[in-house]
Amino acid sequence: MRLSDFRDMLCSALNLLGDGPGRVEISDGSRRVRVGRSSADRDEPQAGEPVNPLRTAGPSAALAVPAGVIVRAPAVGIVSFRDQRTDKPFAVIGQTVTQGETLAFITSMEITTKVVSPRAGVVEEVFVEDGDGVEYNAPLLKILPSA
Amino acid sequence: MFKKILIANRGEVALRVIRACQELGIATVAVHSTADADTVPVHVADENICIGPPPVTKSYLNTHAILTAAKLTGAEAIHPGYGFLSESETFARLVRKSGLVFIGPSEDHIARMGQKAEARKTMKEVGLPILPGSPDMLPDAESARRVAAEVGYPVLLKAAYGGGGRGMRIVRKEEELEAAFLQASAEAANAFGDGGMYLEKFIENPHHIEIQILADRHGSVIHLGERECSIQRRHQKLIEESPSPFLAPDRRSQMCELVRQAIAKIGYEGAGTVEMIVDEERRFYFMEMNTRLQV
Repeated sequence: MRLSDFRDMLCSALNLLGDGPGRVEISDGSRRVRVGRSSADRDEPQAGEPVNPLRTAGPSAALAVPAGVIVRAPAVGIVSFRDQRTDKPFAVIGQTVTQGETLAFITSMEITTKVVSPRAGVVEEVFVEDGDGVEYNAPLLKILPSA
Repeated sequence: MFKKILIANRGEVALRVIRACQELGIATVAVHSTADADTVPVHVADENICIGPPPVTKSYLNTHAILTAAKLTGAEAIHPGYGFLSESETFARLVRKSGLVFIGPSEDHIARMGQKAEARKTMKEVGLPILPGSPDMLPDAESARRVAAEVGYPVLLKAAYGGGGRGMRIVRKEEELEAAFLQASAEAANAFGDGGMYLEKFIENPHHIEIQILADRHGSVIHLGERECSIQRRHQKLIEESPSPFLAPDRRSQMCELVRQAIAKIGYEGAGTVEMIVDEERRFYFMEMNTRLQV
């Protein structure tokens, strides 16, 4: 497991948790991240306390909130989200992609590196614009894995 | 004067270049691998850009990543520091071809000085004494034997692309020559990817003196004095001393001035380190030149 994957899961969990107290656990199957925050006046939630069903997360709820997978730049260069021959975009937000599908190209001088989807899923977020310069490891898109 | 320079190095080397740029009011770009994101030069530079994963072949030795980083950040010139790509002829050429300035010598000078037999020939032409030895690379042990007989034993066999004592043998008798040649050549082929050899007269109890020079593109050359680098262990320097206690002031200034003039004649640009060997009678000979600042 890479530390950056863990960081991404932790970010997703903290976003779901929001600013209030509660507990969130997310999992992508093999890995699990659990975060919690107690309210200001007590440290531990009391037994039998009603919990927000959207935020809670026990082992049963874990699979219901899959973490987005961040796809990162494999090289420093100019990112292209379009197929150079057809000029059609490879992926747009909301599009379903398969594992290994081309999502973008990074051009560094005359060398072009293909960016492929690590998982099957849906494009949830795109962090950079077509034609932007990106550094190595920069987040490009987020894929919400299917199942 | 440049407005923005990219430093293709890391750690203390990069930091020194960045500080020099800051004193001159030049903006700096630090490149880094993912492992070095949280290091001092990255924080101190005006801009920073991640060029690759931790292995240096994929980051600090990745010429495409570095050139791309320079383009993306709008740097006009690249300072290689020392080590990494600082003595790479290919990198210097690629930098120039992509319309940027390589802060250092021309690719032609890097190539010529990187090849020791060629370096000796070049420096001999501009008036530096060189040790008696083979004028070119030796194709085989037999030609080594012929040259050795001419210059007289003991001789020193050296790898054309060598360094750090590898691919080097002292030969005191003719009957030892062939075995030594084959061993040293094989060692050099392993260590440097090239088994080319040359030989020169071996100096007993030599002094190793280095002279750093700085040259600009308008032909001005200065020397920064000499360093006594004779205290070595296994061909690696242990301490350097300046001025050298072995040289009287007139000998020192004669040597430094001759080096300075030779560098001016070959049209060199940037920092460089000229290595000289001095025998017991204080006769000095050019040995080799490193096309970077002295370390």
